[in-house]
Amino acid sequence: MRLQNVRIALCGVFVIGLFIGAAGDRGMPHMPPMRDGYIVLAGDFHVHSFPGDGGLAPWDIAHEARRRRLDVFALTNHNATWSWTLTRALDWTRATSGVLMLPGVEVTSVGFHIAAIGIDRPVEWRGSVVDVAAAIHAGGGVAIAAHPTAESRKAYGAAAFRALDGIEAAHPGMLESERSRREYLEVYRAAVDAHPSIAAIGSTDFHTWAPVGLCRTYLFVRAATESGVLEAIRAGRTVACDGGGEVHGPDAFAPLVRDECRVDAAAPPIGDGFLSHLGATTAWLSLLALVIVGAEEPV
Amino acid sequence: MSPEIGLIVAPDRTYATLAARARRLGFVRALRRPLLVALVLGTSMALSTTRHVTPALVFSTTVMLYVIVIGQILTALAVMPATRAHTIGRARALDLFFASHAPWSLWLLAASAWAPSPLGRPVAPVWAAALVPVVLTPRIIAAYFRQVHELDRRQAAVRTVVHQILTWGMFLALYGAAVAIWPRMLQVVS
Repeated sequence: MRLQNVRIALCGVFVIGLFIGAAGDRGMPHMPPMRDGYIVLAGDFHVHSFPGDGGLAPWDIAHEARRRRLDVFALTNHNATWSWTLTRALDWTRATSGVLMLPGVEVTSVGFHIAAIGIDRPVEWRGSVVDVAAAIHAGGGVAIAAHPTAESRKAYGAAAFRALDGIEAAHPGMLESERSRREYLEVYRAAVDAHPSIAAIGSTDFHTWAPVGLCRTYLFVRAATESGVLEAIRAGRTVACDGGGEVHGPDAFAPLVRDECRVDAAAPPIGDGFLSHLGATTAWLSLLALVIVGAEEPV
Repeated sequence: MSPEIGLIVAPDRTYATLAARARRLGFVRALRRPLLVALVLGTSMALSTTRHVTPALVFSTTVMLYVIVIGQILTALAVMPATRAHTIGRARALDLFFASHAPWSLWLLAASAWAPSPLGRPVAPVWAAALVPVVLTPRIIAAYFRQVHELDRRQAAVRTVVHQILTWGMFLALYGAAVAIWPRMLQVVS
C-alpha cells in the first residue's frame, strides 16, 4: 500500500515537472531584421517529421523552430508527404507557432538525395539529378542538393548543378571532421563554378538528435510568404550558416548576416533556462523512479 | 526488489513469483505498464529532440509513439499461448509481458539523458548501450513463457524467437518505409 502511494506521488511529480517546463517555455516574438531592403528570414529546409523518420510531429517542430529563432522550415520526409497531409488534416496546428511551414520531400534516389521544397506530393525518384530537378520544377517547387558529400559526388556534374536551385553548403555532417567540412565546401565551390547564382542552403537534416536550426539558411525575401521564400531561393539570395557560426554564400549577402549567424549558432533556445532544466530533470527523474519502482509489489 | 529490476537480474525466479501471485486484472488496470512504456517513449523523444518538456509536447510525442506500444501489444497477443492466459486472463498475461520492457525503458531514458549531438557528445555509446536490452529482452521473454505460461524450454524458445522476428520485422518494415529503403538497396547493389 505504501509503494502504491509512492507511485502516485511519482506520477504527480512527473506532471509537476511538465508544468515547470511549460512555465519556462515562454515564447518571444521574433521580428525578422531588414537588410539592404529585404526581410531576412531564418529557415531550415531539411527537416524530417512524424509520420516518417523524424522524432517530432510537424506542429511540435513548428514550436521548436520558434524556440530556435527560425521563421520558416520545410517538411522533407523520404519520398513521402504523409506528415504534410496530416498537418493539412489538422489545419489548426499550423496557425499556432507563427512559423511558416512549407511542404516538401527529400527525393531519395540511387546515389543522390534532393530536398524538394514547395511541393506537396512525392515526385518520381528514378532518373538523374537533372530528371528529378525537372520533375520538382514542374510541380512548382525548388530543388536543393541534400548533403552532397563525396559519396554522392558522382551524381553531380556541371549539368546537374545548373539544373538545381540550391545546394546544402552547411549541414551537420560537416561538423563531424575537418575532412568532411572540406568536402562540403569543395562541392559547394564546384556548384558555384557551374551555376554562379545557385542558392547556398544551410540545413539540419533533423531527425532526432541534431536540433532544428543547428545549420540554417538566411533568406533575403521581398515578402515573408511561401512564394517569397521560394523566389529568394530561385534567385540565389541566401546564405548558409553552419553550426559553428560561419557563413557560406555570395559576397553580396554573406557579410550582411555574419553577426546573426555567429549569435544564432551560440544562443540557447528561447526560454531555455533554470525552469526549463528543472522541469526536464524533474520529469526525467520521476519517470526513471517509476520504471525502477515497478508496477506492483516487490518480489 | 521491484519486479522490473528483478526481471533484469533473475528473470525466471521473478516471473515464477509473479506467476504464483497471478490474479485476474481488468483491462484498464492492465494498461498501466503499456502506458508507462508509452510515457517513457514520449518523454525520451521530447527530451532527445528539444531538451525540454511541456505537457503539450509530451502528450503529442506519447500519443504519436503509442503506435509502437500498439504494435508491441499485437505481437505479444500473437505469440501468447491460450491455455495459461485462459487461467490468469489475457489482461494479466499482457501486464506481465510488458514488465519485460524495463531494459528498453532504462536505455531510452539513458539515451535521452546522454543527448548526443553533432556539436556535443558522440552517438556511438548510445548504440553500444543498446546491446544490453537487445541481449536481455529475449532472455526475459523466454522466462515469461516458461514461468507464466508454463511452457517447456523448447516451446518457450520457439515463441521467443517468433516474437523477436515479429517485433524486429515490424520495426524494419516501418523504418524501411520511412527512410525509402528501396532506392538505398539499389544503391548498395549498384
